[in-house]
Order: sequence, then C-alpha cells, then structure tokens
Amino acid sequence: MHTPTVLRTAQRLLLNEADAQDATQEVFLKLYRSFSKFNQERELLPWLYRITANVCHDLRRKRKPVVAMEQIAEPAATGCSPEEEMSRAERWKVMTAALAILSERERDAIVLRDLESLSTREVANALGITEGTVRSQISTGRAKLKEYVMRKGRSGA
Amino acid sequence: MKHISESQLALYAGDDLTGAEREVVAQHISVCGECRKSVERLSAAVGWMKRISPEPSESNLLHVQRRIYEAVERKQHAGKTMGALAAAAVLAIVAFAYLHHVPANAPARQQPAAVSIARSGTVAKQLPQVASKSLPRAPLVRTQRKPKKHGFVRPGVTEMSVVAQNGGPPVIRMKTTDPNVVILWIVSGGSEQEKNDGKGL
Repeated sequence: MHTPTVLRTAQRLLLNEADAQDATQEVFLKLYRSFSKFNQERELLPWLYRITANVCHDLRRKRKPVVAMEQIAEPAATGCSPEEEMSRAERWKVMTAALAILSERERDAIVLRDLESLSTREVANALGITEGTVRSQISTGRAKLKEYVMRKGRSGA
Repeated sequence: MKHISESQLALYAGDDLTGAEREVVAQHISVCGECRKSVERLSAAVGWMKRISPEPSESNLLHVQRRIYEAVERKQHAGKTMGALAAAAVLAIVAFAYLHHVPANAPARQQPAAVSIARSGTVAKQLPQVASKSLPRAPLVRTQRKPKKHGFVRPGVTEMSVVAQNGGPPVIRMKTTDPNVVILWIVSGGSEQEKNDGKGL
C-alpha cells in the first residue's frame, strides 16, 4: 500500500534507481523494528516520509557524488514533445536532469511539497526543519526550475 | 511600479502564502503584466515537473517488494526483533501493494491477500477480489510462547475461526493474548496449477 509512495519518493530524492530500492528496503526494515509505536494508520504515512527523507539523506552522504553526470542524459528540449508521448525512461531522464540542478535541500523540499503534494508543515516535519526554511527552499527551487524550463524550451525548440 | 520579489511570486504560484500575503500579490499581478507572466511561468514549471515525473516502474516495484519480503523474513527468523506480529503487519502492507501491481497477464499466485490488524474494533476496509477459494499456508503469526521476563511480550494466537463472507473470500479471524489485537487473514485464490503445485507466497 505504501511501497510505491516510498519508492517513488526515494527515486526523486536520490535520482538513482538502485539507491532508491536500497532506501525503500531500509525504510520498511525500520518500520518492522518500530511497528509497535503506531496506533493508527494516519500516523504511518508522515512517519514513512520522515524516515524516507532520513534514509535518503544518509545514503547521499555515504555515496557522494549523488548523481554521476553520465547517469543523467540531458533532454533535448522540455517543450518539444508532449509528456504523454514520452516513454517512462525518457521521462525519468528529463526529471532527473531537472531535479539535479537543485541543491539537495531544495530538491528535498520541492519533491515533498510539489511532487508529493505534502503541506508546508508536513514537509517541515518530514525534513526536521522549520516551515520558514521550507518556504525559502521551495521558492528558490521553483525559481531555478522556471529558469531551467525556459532555457530548455528555447534552446531545443 | 515596485515589483514583487521572485521568492514571493514563487510561493504564490504554489499557494504557499498566508491570506494577507496572497492578497497583496494577487492585487499586484492584477495590474502588473511582468509579475503576472512570472507567476504563470513558475506555475507552468511546477506543473511540468508533476507531469513529467514518472511513477516507479512495475518491475522495480515488484523487485523491491520481493527484497523487502526477504529482508523481513530474515529478520523474523533471526528472532532478534520485536516479533512475528510486527513482521506480519509489515509484510501485509507490502503484500497489499504487491497484489495490486501484479501484471494483468501474470499467473495468479496463492497467497494471503491481506492481513489487517484491527485495533479496538477497526476492520480492514479494502478486500481484494478473488476468483476461487483455498486455504493458505500457516499464518505468519506463530503459536504462543512463554513471555519474556522483561520488555516486549510477544502476543500469541489464542483462537482461530473461519468467517464466511457472502460470495467473498473466507476470512480467518485470530484472537491474540492482547485483547486489543485481532488479526484478520483474508484468503485469496490462486491458479489451479499453482494450487496443485502447493506453491504459496
């Protein structure tokens, strides 16, 4: 039920399929060890996001550089083909290339706020930072993504 | 005209401003084309990221779910953690997702469709459809053991009963030594071939 959510989040935070699978396994092993703490289902998802962010953070520290540049194929242009017609592999490359321009902190905030649609408070809880810091990171991240999309749209069209 | 900062516009584009802040920006962009254009581009960039970001592939999902099964089972057999009940619950969460991501053309497997822990009368809401009925292998929760002198006391199964459902899969109801914990094991069907082979998850 929550495996796709954890795997998807880990993929977007780590930009690496293999590391995301390692992270997902680690998250569920932590859940296995801590399951007695949960009384209700509603407590589980925020906990999973927090642990996923922590596990991904630890993995990034162990395996820097996070994303080898050869793993990211630059998209030809973001605006030249409809997203629906792109294969999953193409979309993965485009997404990783875009998220790779962000700092790790900006990426964490953008992934949880904009891609996972958590509230600012939930993002702050998951990342262990203040809501003000989350707002700062998502505003910077969105501005960078805007520039990236504009640049790619112009260069490839 | 004094423009709104891009950071404020970026927060406005994602609906992350408070009511008063949002009102200020809304009033400004109603008269400032440059800032309005910037908000539109920020919104478009966020929307594009959402659309372009793929879900995990089915093969990756199945692979990682199998890894979790194996890892949790190793932990369970090691007997160094909190016990079989937690393992059953974690495996149930993974199993639920696994069952809902098996490709349509893949052969069905005989396995527990879902194990739900009901606390204080809460009952699992989602029951998967099954084609046939068969009894599963032994449940993940083991028989009662002597409680440890200190620390966590492993709940044991004290009573098992099969609950019939109208047209649905049979449900095995297990009471435990903890009166607040009842385990419902919803039995799914499998292909005839796999049943004959005695294969289970």
